[in-house]
Amino acid sequence: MRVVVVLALVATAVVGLPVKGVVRAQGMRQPSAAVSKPPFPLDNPEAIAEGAKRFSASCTGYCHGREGRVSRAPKLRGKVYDPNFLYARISNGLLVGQSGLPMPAFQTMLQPEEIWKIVAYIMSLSNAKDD
Amino acid sequence: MRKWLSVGRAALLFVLVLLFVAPPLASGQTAGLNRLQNEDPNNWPMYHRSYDSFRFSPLSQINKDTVKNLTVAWVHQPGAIVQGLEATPLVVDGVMYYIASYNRVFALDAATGKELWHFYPKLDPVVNTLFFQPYNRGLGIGNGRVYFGSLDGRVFALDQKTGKVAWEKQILETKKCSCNFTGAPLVVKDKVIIGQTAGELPIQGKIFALMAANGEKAWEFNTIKNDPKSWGGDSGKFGGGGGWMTGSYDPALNLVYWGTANPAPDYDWGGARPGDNLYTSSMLALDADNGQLKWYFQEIPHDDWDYDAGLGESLVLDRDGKKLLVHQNKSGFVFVYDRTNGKIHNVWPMIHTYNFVKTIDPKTGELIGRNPPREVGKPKFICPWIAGGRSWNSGSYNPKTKLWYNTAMEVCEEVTVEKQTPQTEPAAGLFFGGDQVAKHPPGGEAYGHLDARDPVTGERKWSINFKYPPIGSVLSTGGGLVIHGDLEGTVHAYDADTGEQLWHFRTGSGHRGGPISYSVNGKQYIAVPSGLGSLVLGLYPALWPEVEDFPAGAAIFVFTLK
Repeated sequence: MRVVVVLALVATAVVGLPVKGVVRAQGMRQPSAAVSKPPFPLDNPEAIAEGAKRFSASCTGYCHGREGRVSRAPKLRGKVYDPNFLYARISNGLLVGQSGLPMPAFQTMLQPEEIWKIVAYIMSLSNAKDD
Repeated sequence: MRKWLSVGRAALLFVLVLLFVAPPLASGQTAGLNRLQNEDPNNWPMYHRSYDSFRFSPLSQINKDTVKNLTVAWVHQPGAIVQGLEATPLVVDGVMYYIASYNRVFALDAATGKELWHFYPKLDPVVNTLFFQPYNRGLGIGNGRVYFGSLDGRVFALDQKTGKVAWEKQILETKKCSCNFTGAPLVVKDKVIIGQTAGELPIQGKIFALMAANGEKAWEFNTIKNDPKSWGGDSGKFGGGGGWMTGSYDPALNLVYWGTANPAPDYDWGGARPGDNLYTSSMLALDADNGQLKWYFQEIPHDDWDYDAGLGESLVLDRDGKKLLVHQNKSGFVFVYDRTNGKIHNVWPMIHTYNFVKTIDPKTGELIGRNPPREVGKPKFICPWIAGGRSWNSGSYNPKTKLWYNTAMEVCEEVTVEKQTPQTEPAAGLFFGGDQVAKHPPGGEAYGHLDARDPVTGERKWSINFKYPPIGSVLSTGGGLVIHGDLEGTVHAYDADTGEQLWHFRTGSGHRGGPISYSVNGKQYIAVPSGLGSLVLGLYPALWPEVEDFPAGAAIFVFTLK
């Protein structure tokens, strides 16, 4: 490793190559989710409706299936989840999920309240059945 | 590597290789150009092998008679299986280069699989927030360097012999645009040409040409035309587009042909983006030197279905004295152009299950009887599905049989359009304007097929059906073979004339990448990337729930004769 770093520094000094390019790495670090609590009851109908819209706009057909139906990513209908688990998973994403799929991390894209609305929507699917 | 060889012995070996392995250049191929094209039959030096995008290897040692003797020569695994293995490997002078998920790049001895070097870039964690990740479809090679576009918006040039970084350039503001590079670059003379992802994002997608020597930007082409007639209101600011796959090149005309992606939002609830939305879902002919637009044809004006033109190969084909360009749009229709001026020569459907239009005029390319999903909140039945009549995988044209071997999908969907406000802060969010779920066609089961067709007329010579629509690219060879891997993890060799299966091998995971053929020291090989993964695969379980559990993987299987 020391050799790599030295070579990188030499290369940088001689021809101006960026050190970053020769650092070895595998994959990426996971961002951490900030601690958060739902700002509304998770059975709030308005929150669920807004969560449904946000869920629909965030890769449902390709990933979790429309309204949480079966897909390559886990089916969400008819399942009972811990809301804190859902919040953390939506925030942090997953490097390697089911069937070798990654799940994007949404914490930089969505405000905590928006993530909680998605959680509320997914929780509302616990009694839903496939068509 | 072969210093012990005298010049004379090397020359003799070269002649023997030409005599016994490589047949003469077939008619329809262009001879006398540089070695990055068809000159050396032993190599596969670019994404589609040659600038004409034929994906055809003239090698014939492995042929209809000998293919039964294929055996595994070696296997290489990149160690990252997330989203499978989508790439097409390259081979130049006995060295294989390929890229896997998380932009892992490898150089291998193409005869043994022994690793010569690898390069794992340190990627920005923003990649973990993106929709288009962590796959990559391929590399570019030229001027002693290996090029690729990264998941975090950079373009890299690696020393071809050592894998060390020669230069890297941050081209995209990935943290802001949520866009990146996933397609293979095209090296043309002293430039590296590459397009970005953008079609599902509220941004403006571009195609870039960088100087191969140092990465400096030579030109860029904005696929969102600055024209209020084409983009009503401020919709052009969020118009998407881009050119996420690899184009073709005609050296005689010095034109690069590059298809562009769909507009954003994918679905228009009526008024989301008034106008025809140039230059999205279009075929572009750009001057390779300066990026100037020589001609364009918008295959899907005001695209209402996400049927972009950014995918697959664009065949640079000469026939009966005409200079043609053959390109399959995602809608399943094949557009045949006069490539000198972009005028339509023919349009024909690769699929028979479609209702997004009644037809497309084969003389003008006009969409007749459009059937857009527009009513907010009300599901609408549309064919083909958002994965297209074909996905981004490529077919293969064999200049000996004059047939194009190409896959197709007969699948429909139910689209529900929803109004959506474009999100650009703190970073661009997905901008679909609705969602969809896969459906069987009326009166039958959805399926896919591999066809042998005349690329200009569409006349079909043979066809093979698959329960699960295939999403792997196709290889055809001078040995009269068609090589194709299916979704269940079996690679097949078919007779190019009849479609008869001559050989098959189970690789253990489905196929999404591109098989190739090459030769080292007089021995022909067939390399097959195996490893199931793809965004479109997420659409399958709605029709075939078992696909949910199809195993991911990533491995290069290389076969040769016993």
